[in-house]
Amino acid sequence: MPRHHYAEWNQGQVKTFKCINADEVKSMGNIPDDQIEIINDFIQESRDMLDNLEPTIIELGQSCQKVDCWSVLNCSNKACKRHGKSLETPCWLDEGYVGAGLQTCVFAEAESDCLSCQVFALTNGDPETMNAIFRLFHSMKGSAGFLEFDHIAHVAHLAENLLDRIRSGKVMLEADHVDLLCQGCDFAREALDYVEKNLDDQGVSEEAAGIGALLEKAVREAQQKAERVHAQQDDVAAAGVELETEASGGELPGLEDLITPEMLSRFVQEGDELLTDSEQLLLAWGEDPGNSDSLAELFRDIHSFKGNCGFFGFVDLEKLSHQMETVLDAAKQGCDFGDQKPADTLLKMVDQLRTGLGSIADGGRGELENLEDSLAEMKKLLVKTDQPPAPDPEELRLADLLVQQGVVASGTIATLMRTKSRPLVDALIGCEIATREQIDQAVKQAQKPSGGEKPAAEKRAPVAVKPVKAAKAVAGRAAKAAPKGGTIKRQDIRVDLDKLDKLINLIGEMVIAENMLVNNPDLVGLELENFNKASQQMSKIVRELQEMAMVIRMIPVSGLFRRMIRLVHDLSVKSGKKVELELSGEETEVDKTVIEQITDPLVHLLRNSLDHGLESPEERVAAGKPEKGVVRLSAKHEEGEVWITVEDDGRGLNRERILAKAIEKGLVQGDGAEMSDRAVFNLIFQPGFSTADKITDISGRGVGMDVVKQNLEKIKGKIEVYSKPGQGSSIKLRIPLTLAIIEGLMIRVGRTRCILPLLSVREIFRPTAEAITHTPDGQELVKVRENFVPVLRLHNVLRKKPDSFVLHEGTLVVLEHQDDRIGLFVDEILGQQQTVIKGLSNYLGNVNCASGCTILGNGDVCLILDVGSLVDVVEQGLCRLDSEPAGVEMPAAATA
Amino acid sequence: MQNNTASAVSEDTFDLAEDTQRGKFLTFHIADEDYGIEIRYVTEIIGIQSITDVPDMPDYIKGVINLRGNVIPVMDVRKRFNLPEKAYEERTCIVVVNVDDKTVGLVVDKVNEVIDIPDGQIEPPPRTKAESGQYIQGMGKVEDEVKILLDVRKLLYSEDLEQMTKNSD
Repeated sequence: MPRHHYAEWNQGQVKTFKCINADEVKSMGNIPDDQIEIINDFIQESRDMLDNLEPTIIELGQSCQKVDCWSVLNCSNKACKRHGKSLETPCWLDEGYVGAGLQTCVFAEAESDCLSCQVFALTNGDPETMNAIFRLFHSMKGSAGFLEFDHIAHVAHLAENLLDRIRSGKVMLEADHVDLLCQGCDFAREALDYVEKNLDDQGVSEEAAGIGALLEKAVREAQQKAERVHAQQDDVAAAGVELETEASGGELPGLEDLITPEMLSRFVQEGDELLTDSEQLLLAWGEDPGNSDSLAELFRDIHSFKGNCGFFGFVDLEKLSHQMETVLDAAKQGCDFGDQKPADTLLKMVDQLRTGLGSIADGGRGELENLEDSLAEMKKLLVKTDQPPAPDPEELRLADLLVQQGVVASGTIATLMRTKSRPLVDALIGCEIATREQIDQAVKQAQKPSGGEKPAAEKRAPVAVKPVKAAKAVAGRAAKAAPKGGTIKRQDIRVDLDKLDKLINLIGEMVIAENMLVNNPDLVGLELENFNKASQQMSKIVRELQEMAMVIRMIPVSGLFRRMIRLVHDLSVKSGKKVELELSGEETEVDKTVIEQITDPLVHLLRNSLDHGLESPEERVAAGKPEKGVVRLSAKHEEGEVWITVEDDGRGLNRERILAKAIEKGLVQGDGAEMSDRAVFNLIFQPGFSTADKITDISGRGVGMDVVKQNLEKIKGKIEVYSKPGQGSSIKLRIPLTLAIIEGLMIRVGRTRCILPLLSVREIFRPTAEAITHTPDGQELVKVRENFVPVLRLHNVLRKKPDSFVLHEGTLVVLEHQDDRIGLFVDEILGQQQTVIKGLSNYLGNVNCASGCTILGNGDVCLILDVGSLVDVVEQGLCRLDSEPAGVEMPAAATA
Repeated sequence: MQNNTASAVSEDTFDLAEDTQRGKFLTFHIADEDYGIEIRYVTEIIGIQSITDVPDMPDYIKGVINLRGNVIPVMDVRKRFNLPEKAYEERTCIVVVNVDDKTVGLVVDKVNEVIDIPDGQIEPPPRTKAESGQYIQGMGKVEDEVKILLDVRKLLYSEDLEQMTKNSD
């Protein structure tokens, strides 16, 4: 779970806050490039967010179930109305403490107890998941609002409202809500597409209104439902009925519990990066105040920093960075700072932020002792500039007074003070905020009781402040020195994928070089005890290095799996089948390329499972199965491979139907009765093969399985199909863990050495003469226990002269490729070795029978045979006995 | 194919460094003739080493070699010209060329030297229907000798090889 949270936080918060002042976007007719870039950033990040959001929403829906409180909590309170009954209304609204609950539940004493109660979590969804969704919508709303994509922001806001009601227990979560939220995601996607094209979201207003209305309706209906509960109760305490929205402002109660140490350290690192950036930009800006590019970037950095601080609840840092942002915003508006140097002041502030960050890294709360001081310092910058004539102290006093007397709100007066161009009193009256009588009266009243005391106190105040300021400045300087001790440690760095690939290649080279060194022919026959020790040590390190290199490129499959959640949800809605998707082994890590290659296959396999595999609810009930079908998607490491399995408990593959279709298509000769189940099931991977009577919009054209096969072949993977009629089917994708290094078996034919991938080797033996049979068309077969395996003579394929042409004088290696077996006839087995795969030059194109090559210890190049094409050679009958004499050429004596 | 070698060269001349290589040819010896290829294609010259066969390749592709960890294919130029085979000996060399980011080794009998042949000294290739004629870029005159200047790109990518790679796809 922490991993997910972190990912969501990362996408949701850090990146999306790279925003700019939206007013500028709108005010300029054509949008400048850097802002287009920001919008594109927003689109990209929002899409990432949506990818995360959907599965989470569905997860939430799945985590909800109808439960009865008394059975979950094992309640013994027989007096309770709910006891022994299954009621539609949620207990916390009924007997509990939320809203107008009766407060009779024996398990809770306050609203917070209800919200943390198991029953609540079971009915209204896992609170962590809920908070995650809430956060994502909230971030989207924030970013969209900032860029003035009002429709997106509006929909996100409404979704947030609904979620807030659910989260705070005001209403019960229903299946419709999940659908609605998913629709919200769809809308957001559409809107993003539109934004991408047009850079605004005006064109989606209709859709926004549509989805908005739905969301609002849902909130209303749910609310009514909840209130009906209350209406039924006669003695509802009147208190607490009011529609409370304290949390909808974006406050996230209990969020701190969700912040994991990883997130925090990530925050510190990111923050440090942002500050370092800002520092440099500030310096640049100080040198060249006219540079608006660096200013915009600076603004974004500080803004992101503020956003992060806000998210983590580091109030002091947030306040400080907010004020910095204000100064920068003013600077962006082209405001003149006179002879003050805002860059210097801001640099000081960056130092302070860093102090705070340092204290967070040490486990503190990032509190800044001289915060007020700093804020004042920055305000001074603004005051000087925004109001060239410094505000009249008399007016300030009057303003204070008016606020105290309640004539004017403090916010109004602050705005007025900043914007007014005439004396305060005139302005107040002019704007019809207050009448002259009110003001006069307020002034009189204030002067009446305390006489001249007040002005005196105010006069004294500035004097008193001074020594404090000095003390704080000293403290500030002391604190500033602290972070230089290096409290902020980096724990990760971002690396260009190219560099990584180069590193991995180099390590591959090193494995070869190490082999060449340790097995150097010059060493043969020498007694080198120390050398051997050293070389063993080196071999060990090289192995470790190699393993490490493989791990670097690995990423967990969880992202891929979670994308499938939405797919299954949609398909189940579309097909009217009830499905539960079970994920396991999400943490399994596989190579990045593998993830890219298996995305499509997984989609197709899941579609198949849902469309063909699972039966309709009625059929399932009739067959004595639970109404809800189960699709399991799992990943695990096994036998040096990654196994990804898609399993369902549906009707299984229909052998007869597949066979009938295959015979009809001419794929199978005869009636196919002798074919193994495996062979029959493998027919479904033929292009264009489909047993579906009708082509639905989900599947049926027979393309999907072909895609699965193609993609798997690209990454040297295998597919296994298992099926039991009536019990379900399971398709296993077996993918080699790494695509760069394999365990190889070295064999020899004549003077040629070749590598066979060990994973394909089933057994090795020397056949007896009796075990060999010849078919009339010249194919040799060898009897391996009860099976006959066709023999392929490798010397024919490579056109080399072997030591012996007689089968029982050589060795047979039984190879398996997607359930086909062949016996490869070779002269000798030389041993097993780690093989770094190198591609044959692309100048040669695709080489028949070889998947690549490797470099041996002595520097020679050695081919890695491709088992798949060797099997094809046999199947196509290209290698019969009669071709033998013609095929053999003299070995490459001339070349050596 | 007329006297347009100069323009052909300048077309794919990318920078000044290559400018200094203009008009320079690496000459080598096969059978009884001297040949030359433009120096800008040549990356290095190595002695003959053990070549690993690759199945199902045209006979002039001898196989692959290990060039400091990189596996590169090797072409026997003799066989490419349908000349009789000759056992490799210590003077046999592999000229490593790089064309379009593809590195290929060319097996030649003997490498001679790098010489300057100005454009004015290059005659258009003879009009011939012979197969080997199509690889010729021009005839270079050096004093009273003639060097056959080869078009490396055509040497590497003549139709039959292209067809072969297409088929195997």
